[in-house]
Amino acid sequence: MEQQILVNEQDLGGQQPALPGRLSRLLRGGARGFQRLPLKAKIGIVILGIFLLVAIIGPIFAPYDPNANTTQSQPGAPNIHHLFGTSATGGDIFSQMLVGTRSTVILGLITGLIATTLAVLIGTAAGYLGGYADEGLSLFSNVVLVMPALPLLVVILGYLPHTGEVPTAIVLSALSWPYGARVLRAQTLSLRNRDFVLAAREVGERPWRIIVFELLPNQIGLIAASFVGTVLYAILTSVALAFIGVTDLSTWSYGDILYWAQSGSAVELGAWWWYVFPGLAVAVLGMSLVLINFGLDEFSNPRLRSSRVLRRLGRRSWRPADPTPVIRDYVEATS
Amino acid sequence: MSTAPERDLAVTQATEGGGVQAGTGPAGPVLDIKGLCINYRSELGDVRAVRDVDLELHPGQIVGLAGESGCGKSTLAYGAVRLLRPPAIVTAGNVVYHGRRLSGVHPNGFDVLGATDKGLQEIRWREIAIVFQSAMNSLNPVLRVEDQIIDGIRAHMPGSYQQAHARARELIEMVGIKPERLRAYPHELSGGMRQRVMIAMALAINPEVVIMDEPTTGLDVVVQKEILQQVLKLKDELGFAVLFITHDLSLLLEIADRVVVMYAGQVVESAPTSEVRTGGTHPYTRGLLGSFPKLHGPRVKLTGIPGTPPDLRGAAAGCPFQPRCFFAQDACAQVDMKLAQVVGAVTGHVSACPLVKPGQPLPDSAQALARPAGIEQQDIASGELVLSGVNLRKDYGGGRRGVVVTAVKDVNLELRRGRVVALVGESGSGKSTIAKLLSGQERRTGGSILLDGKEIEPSNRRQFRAYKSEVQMVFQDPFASLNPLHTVRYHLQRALAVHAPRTGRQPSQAEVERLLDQVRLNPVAKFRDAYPHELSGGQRQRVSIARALAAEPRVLLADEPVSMLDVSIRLEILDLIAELRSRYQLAILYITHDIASARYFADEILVMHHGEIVERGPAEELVLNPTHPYTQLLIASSPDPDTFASEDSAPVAASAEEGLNREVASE
Amino acid sequence: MLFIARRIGFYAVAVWAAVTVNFLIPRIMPGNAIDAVLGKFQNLTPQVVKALEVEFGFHPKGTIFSQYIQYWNDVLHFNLGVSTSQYPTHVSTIIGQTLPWTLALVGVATILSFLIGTLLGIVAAWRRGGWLDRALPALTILQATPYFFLALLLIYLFAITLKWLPFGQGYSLGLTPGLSWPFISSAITHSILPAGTIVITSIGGWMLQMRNVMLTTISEDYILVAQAKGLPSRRVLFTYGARNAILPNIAAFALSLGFVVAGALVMEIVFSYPGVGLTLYNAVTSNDYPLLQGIFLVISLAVLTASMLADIAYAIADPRARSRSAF
Repeated sequence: MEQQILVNEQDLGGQQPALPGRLSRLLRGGARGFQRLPLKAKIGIVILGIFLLVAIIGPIFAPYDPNANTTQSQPGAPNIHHLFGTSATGGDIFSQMLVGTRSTVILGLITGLIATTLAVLIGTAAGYLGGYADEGLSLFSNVVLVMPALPLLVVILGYLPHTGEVPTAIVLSALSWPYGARVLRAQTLSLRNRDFVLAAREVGERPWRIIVFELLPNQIGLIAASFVGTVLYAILTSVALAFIGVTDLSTWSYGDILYWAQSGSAVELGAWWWYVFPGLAVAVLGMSLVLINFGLDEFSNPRLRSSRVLRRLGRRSWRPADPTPVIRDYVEATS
Repeated sequence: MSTAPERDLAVTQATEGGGVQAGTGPAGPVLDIKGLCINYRSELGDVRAVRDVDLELHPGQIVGLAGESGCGKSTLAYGAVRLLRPPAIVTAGNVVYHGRRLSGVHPNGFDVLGATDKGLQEIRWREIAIVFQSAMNSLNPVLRVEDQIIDGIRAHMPGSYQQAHARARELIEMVGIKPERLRAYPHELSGGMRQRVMIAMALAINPEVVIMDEPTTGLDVVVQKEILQQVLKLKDELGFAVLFITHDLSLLLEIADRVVVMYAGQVVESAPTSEVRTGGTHPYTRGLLGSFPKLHGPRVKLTGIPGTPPDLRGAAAGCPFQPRCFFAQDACAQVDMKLAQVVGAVTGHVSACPLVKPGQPLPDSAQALARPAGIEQQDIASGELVLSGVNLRKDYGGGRRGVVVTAVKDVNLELRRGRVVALVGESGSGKSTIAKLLSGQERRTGGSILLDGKEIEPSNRRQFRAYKSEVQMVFQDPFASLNPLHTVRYHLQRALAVHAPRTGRQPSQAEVERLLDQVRLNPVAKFRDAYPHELSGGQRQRVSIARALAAEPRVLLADEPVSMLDVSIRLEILDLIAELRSRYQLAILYITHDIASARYFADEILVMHHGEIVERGPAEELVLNPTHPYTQLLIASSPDPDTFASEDSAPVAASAEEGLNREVASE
Repeated sequence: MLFIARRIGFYAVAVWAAVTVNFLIPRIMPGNAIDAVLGKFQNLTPQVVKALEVEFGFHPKGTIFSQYIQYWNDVLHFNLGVSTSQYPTHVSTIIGQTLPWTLALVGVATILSFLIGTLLGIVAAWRRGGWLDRALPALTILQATPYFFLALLLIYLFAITLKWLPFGQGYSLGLTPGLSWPFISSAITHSILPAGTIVITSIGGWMLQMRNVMLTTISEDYILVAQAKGLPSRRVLFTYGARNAILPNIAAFALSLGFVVAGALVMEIVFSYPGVGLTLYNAVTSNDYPLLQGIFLVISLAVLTASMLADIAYAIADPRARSRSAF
């Protein structure tokens, strides 16, 4: 295997590898990258993958029409036919969730995408340009940041004629970019004065090349973390918005199910399945995102990892003020 | 863990007599380290950072611990007082503290490795205090200086807060700081003052042992000299013993009673300072001594120590220094390093190399080692003028706040083909600002820059690329100046591509390899596709230089190109720059704080102080006969083994005091 | 001092922005705002229509600039218009009745959760590999749980199944608000579940953040110096470690208040707690725009004030901040 790669590279003689080679290398690199990730991130990615899959194919497998309306007047507990029970009007909660996953996930992803793009543009620009541009952009992002977003969203979305995913995602993006921008600005500021950036300028590189090829690749971790954080924020906020009724009630999302549960007095009726399943879905989806960010954090800051070394020392816990361990019968581990 | 008599320094030390200045107390060390082994656990196998080390510190003695970074000297010191954290563990050895004050409680000495957390608090600070390396980070930023001194006192001494406060005043005055500064927060103090505070803090409870870990690294030579003199004075008054850790062997030759040299986690030589001053025995010690350019005597080529230290994972067979050793023989790969009394030397002078005798001349292989041409001093007035700065001036600040700081004031300099001009000064003298003005990173406030006699505006965007193809720069920190995400090839290809825009094609592999060959990164195939983190500091700096050469410039600006590198590697890089200047007739501006290295290969030296050039002249002449008082102070403050005798000469002390006042005043 | 001056300047800008946004929203929304809004109402009385018109400048009197001046004048006099759903009650009156409930509940619960979370974070960092450190990943699920979902679960468990605690309203029906013991004890028992929800959902975040900053701080040289000084480990932990590590946590606290408060508002709805959140919900369901906008303005001002206080606490805690002027 090893040899083959070597031969390949010599054949190519430093030329750009052909596309299939590139693709397989990318895939192999991706697989290797995944393996190197901390366990938490792996778990998070797998859970998120399941949700993405459901978002794509879920509606096809929904056993009932989520809008189905029967004459029944009581919510029905879970049974063989209705795994997650039914709503007061007889809607199948399981089907509603299979259909609603898509809307919730899409809203999160769109918001994450727009907000992260804004964050990268504004944060990097502020950090790289410095001076008055930085002052202005920073002031702007900080003002948006301290604004309580939820009431503002309620007010803005209240005025909009339609409150589907896309308008909600756009307004959410407009309010959720500043956190990422702030982090990226700080990182850009510290990178900008690093010698390798000065050196690239010294070589004669143009500013756009420096930003794209020298600065941004060093911020991939932060950009990813900012994206994941925004998706989480968007999902939680959109669910909260739907829950209080700022939503398009003709479609289905996790928040919509919860809205109907609340307005149908599910708690008072003891119909726990009506809100526990969608609520749990939000929590698990959110947890997968938190775990991914956890993993990204540990990846970039090894200090945060729970120390495996401790475990091998046979100690349960350790305080930083403890004296250096003395282990006289120590046998070196062989790798 | 051998206990062979020749390894037992206590025996040899006691009989040594005159070799130790202050060995007045009862025979026997105050800190006794025996067979200490420290490992850093890691996934890829343990790093054996300290291997079976013996070390003794006698009352009132200064023992210097020297070696390159990664040799285990700091690990040894911190491990001995159990301040290292996992993954570090102590795997073998004994550390016994024999303090006079503890002799009643612990008649056989205090067993440091056997002590509990509570037990260690008994000896920490009260008996063994530490002055840490980075004064910047070793003070708690949110506590006033006085609180940090007082809490150490109150943790160990009975008495009221008022008494502790009075003691703090006393201490701070002792190290030459006004008592009012006790109310200051650390960020309000200069680097030198912070280090003085650390020293005052360490001496708070009259400890018997003070460990000093690179206490003056990062400080200017003048401040360094002042602080060291203060330490020596206090040591004489208070009688503590010092374990002084530094990479700068020449510093130890000035202050230490005994020098212990470490390599690859082991002690390779331990000797009274006088023995080391006359040349040392172990090839590594000799290599270290040969790495420092001198300020006196003839301007000579130096050998340095080629190569890099070994990986410390796993057990080493044979002498670890063998691959870098001029004296190496086949047998070296088999023998284990064992310290043994050096034949014909003072008792107590031990070396781990059984092959090399004191005073044995370097073998022909080392003599013949192709030392580059280029360190001979050239006539500074001849040579074609390429780049010159006329009345350069740079002000910072202004605007609404109104405070203007002039960093550079009326500086004139001329860079000629094949000539090296050294710009020497302390931090804040404005020397780096000149590099920024000449490279176009910053716009000057006044004066003009002439390229081939024509005025040019380097920071002008339209002229920038053309200017860059003539004037290139090498950065100080090789660990920061390469993008960690790009390979060596990428860095060089970009530099080539930027300066060959007409063809529009990707620079060929051959061009990249030619650049690598120019900076002696051979075999090129090994370095071509490497990432920066796979290279050593010296190799990275070579890549940096290769990148600067890609544009085929006529002028090279080198801003402290070796100050971040280990002493043993500095010469290689300076030699490379010297070689390039004679091969390509480059005009070079060498910016440094180290006047001895400027003397090593510059043709002209400009001394900068407070933004102005206070003295200039041909390198040899200026160093040997400095006329300006500041130049004299700078030279007198630079560590130089040869000037040991004149250390306490009057003018230096007077100037040092003046320097101290200046620093206090500037706060 | 420069730091505090700059921060106050910043919050002045933020307040100006909040008021201006509130002024502009009804005026720049796409489409014909009057139709959009009126279309959502049924059976409007003429008085209400008139109130709406005045409120939103549907029939603008004077230029947009003079409207803006008038708007500021109204805001400064707490004149936030008239509620359309509870006509003719003034918006400021409604908010005045509900705001104290929210301030007391959300304020106390948030500060409590910040303090407990920070303390637990310190312990987790100090005892590497201890049970708290190992339990951290499990706490992430709390961070991802919507407030109101946890509220539903707690109600189901403690109020409906176990019947330990009451839910709904801020106090038992039939009591008159006042400084009487029955009222106060009733208010406290009614606030346990809502406050518990806030504490449980937000504590994990504070804890994790404090732990992470602590771990970075612990590897600073000054911690090693404190240890070498032989100080008691309690002092090393708090005066040297936590004292420094808490600074970024305070800064983060100031920034994330808006988010925390938003969650708490939604939680109020579940509990029918008589605070601003429930009022917001009612305003949404009854399309009471003047009330909506008034609530946004008041919440903004409350959050900005709290952030500013946190910022000033930061400046007091960090001597370096006082001589720095950055944002």
